[in-house]
Amino acid sequence: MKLSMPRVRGLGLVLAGATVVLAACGGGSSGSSGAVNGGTLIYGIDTDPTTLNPFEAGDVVSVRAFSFMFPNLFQADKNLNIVPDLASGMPTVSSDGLTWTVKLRQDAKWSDGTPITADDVVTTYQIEANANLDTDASFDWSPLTDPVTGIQKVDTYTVKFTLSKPFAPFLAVNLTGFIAPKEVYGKIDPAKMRTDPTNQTPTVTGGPFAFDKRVTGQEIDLKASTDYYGAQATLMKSIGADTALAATGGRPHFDKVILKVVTSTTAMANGLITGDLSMTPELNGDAIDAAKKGNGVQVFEYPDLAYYDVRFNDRAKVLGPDGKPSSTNGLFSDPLVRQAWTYIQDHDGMIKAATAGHGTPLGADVPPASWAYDKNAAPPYPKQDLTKAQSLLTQAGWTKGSDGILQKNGQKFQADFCVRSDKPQRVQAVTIMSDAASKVGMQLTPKPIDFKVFYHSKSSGGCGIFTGEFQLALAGWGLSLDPDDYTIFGCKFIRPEQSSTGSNYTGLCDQQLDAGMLKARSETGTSTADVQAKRKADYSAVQKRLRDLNIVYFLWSDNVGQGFVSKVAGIVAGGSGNDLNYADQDRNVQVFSQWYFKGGK
Amino acid sequence: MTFYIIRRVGVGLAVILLMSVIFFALARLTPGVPFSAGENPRANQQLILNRIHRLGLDQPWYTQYPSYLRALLRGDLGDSYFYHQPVTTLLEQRVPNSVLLYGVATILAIIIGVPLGVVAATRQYSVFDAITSVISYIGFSMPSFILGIFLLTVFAVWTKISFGFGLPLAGMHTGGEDDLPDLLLHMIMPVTALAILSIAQYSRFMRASLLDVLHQDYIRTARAKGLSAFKVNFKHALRNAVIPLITIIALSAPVIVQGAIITEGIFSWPGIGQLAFQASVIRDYPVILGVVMMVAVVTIVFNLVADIAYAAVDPRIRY
Repeated sequence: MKLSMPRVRGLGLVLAGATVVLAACGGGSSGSSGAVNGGTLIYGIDTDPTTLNPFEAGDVVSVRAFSFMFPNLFQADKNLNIVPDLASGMPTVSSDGLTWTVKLRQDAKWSDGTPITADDVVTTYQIEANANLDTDASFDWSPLTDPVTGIQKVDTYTVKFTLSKPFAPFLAVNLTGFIAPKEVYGKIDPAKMRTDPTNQTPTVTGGPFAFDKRVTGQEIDLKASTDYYGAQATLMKSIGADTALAATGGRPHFDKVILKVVTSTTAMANGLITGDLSMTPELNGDAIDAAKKGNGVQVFEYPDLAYYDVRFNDRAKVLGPDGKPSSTNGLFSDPLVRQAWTYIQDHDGMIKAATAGHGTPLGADVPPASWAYDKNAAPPYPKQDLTKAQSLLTQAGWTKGSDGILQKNGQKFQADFCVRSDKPQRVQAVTIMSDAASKVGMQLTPKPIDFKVFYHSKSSGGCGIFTGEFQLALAGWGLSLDPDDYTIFGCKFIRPEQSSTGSNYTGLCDQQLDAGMLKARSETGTSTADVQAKRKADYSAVQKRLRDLNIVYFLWSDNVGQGFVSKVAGIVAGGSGNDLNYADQDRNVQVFSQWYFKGGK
Repeated sequence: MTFYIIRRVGVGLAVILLMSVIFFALARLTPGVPFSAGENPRANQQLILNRIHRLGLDQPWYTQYPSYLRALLRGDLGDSYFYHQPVTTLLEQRVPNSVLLYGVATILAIIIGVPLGVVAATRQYSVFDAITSVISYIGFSMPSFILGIFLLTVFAVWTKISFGFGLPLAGMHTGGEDDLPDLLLHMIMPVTALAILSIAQYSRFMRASLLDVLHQDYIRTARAKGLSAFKVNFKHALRNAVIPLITIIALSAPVIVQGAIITEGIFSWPGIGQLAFQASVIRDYPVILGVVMMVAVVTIVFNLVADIAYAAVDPRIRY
């Protein structure tokens, strides 16, 4: 049939109209230029979370799960600086450092429509400070004058904290955690929090996503909050994000987030490539390389906020099973021996070999991403120089016997080098270091030990780290957003002599180091920036002292990766452009409202 | 028969009690405690010590056992140390998933393996018999974790990359889905991985058992009387040859509830095997003991069922 001109024009109009309609229907509504609402983010987790109750979460997976649902008072920005979340601004601190006042934003609401107020903040922290709270999580409110009266509501949107002495880490350590609704969690007996149904189904939340349903062992479904205060340009700016990506309408860009349990590391690494997963929050080692090779995958690799070190027993005599000094000399009690160790090892080479290139060498307990890092105070360890090492050992009185093993006053330089058996990279590192040490006559035997007994006494199958029976061990530490490490190196935390629960296992008490760490902890100033500047100088001195004494031998931070399918956009990384530490483990919750799918699905 | 069943039940209860003592002691004597500060220097170690004391874990195992036994007799398996739920709830959630997976794999193995064994036996030394034997040996030799990773890599990853379609990588359902076709798609690989070993096992066993029966005098007599090969093989021989297989299948029933740790781990199948493995790693004693006691009870029950089935199939057997 031949079409007449009027029919052609009419058909063209219809087609044009249809195109407009189709364009309006597809891709979801737009938050602002470039960012589109819609789609479901499939987030891979390697085990089923043990709980969705933030007061009970003591494992990383559970923390990741609840972090989508609960707001923080303060949070980390992309460069790990502390910035407000629920708070309307930085805290006001009295000149003596004892009173901290925090004002809240007044537009934040829980998912049931009720406003988030000072009552919720006070209740949350009082629950955490309650000695009867039965939890796997770690809360420390000892800086307060009192766990109840030390936190006070000033008015509907203002909270005041009263400390017993100045504690500069208070903001990063205590105020960056979650806030939970008083009307739900304030009614639960802290002693029975562990078995409350909120562990499985959180009913009232205030984060970018709300709980929808859970299929045990398989998945947890979250739906977009409809009135989330964090989905706004001003807040996006506060975390260093691109304000153009902010959603409007009080919701995040994604319609849903599904936390899918994937227990196989093979499946987790390949899930991004096949599209079964949209995001993986933790890729390690070979999985990073595999994901990077996949088409349609983007990987952000960065040093984790954790580190490993060789922990020496710096005591003159190692302790015996009775907790008293034994007759066995501490092999590493002499600073010259510890210094020799730094020349025995090929620090960077060993790390590269052990981690297959996925470790960032460290020379201090402060990672490069931290504001407190000072590369001059903690320069790279010296290159391997066995001659120099031998000279230092001779100076310390160690000479090689006829069997090639160093000896001094009848004692041979022989020891077990303990390491967790479930961590192949660490086992390999210990093997490499033991081999290097053998070249100068130290006979160290790698001893992999199950993690559940690793720190415990030798009689219970452990290394004897808690009990001071060990000579050396490869141990690891998780770091917080604050560089304070007083509990690891402070004199009063020496375990077991000074404290039954401390974390200073080396046994070494150095007054200069102790004073430096205490000074950094108690700095006060005219502003947060002023305090941080003073503490940075303090930590430079601390790092230098740690290195001068070689109390421990710092090793590396694991490079971890977060993987996304390519269609996920809006990801803002810090550091040198690849660091997403802030977007993990509840350090920043607003970030989840910023990501979106290109095309909206 | 009634007296036999009563006697067996009594013995079974005694065995369960003995096993509860043994496994309770083994769990408590394993070095390490469920709770530790780990590598968190800010962990409140005093709280950890308080919890260990509150749960009685710092006491000798023989002083902890009586309260455990009292609860067990009430049917209370206790609360998980880590999952914040009663152990019975966790088992109720996970056991059906394992039963589904292993049950389907077992049925498939019977449907395929038994006929394979019968044909191999009736055509002994034929090409079919040889091929069946080779495939069975491969099935026996292949470790389940290698087979699982192979299936995953080829049919979920490689086919997806090469052809744009692959089987699902993990779990029972695609995120957000819960329909039957989606479930069946997710079952293909783990069921295959489990069934292959059982097919190999059942076919070889059926072949051996049937060959043994086919060489009996009464079979020769039946043939001599002019009965057809079908009647000889299936009416007379197979019925007797299947008796030992009933025992094998009945004794493998507890495996259905205990789950397949490796297969469930590779395919992220949320079954009892995965739960037991995780509980073992983190020393979740109540869950470990709950799984063990459940498997013990099922084993004893199915042993009894096998013996009764034996008597039903073989009229020569009377208790």
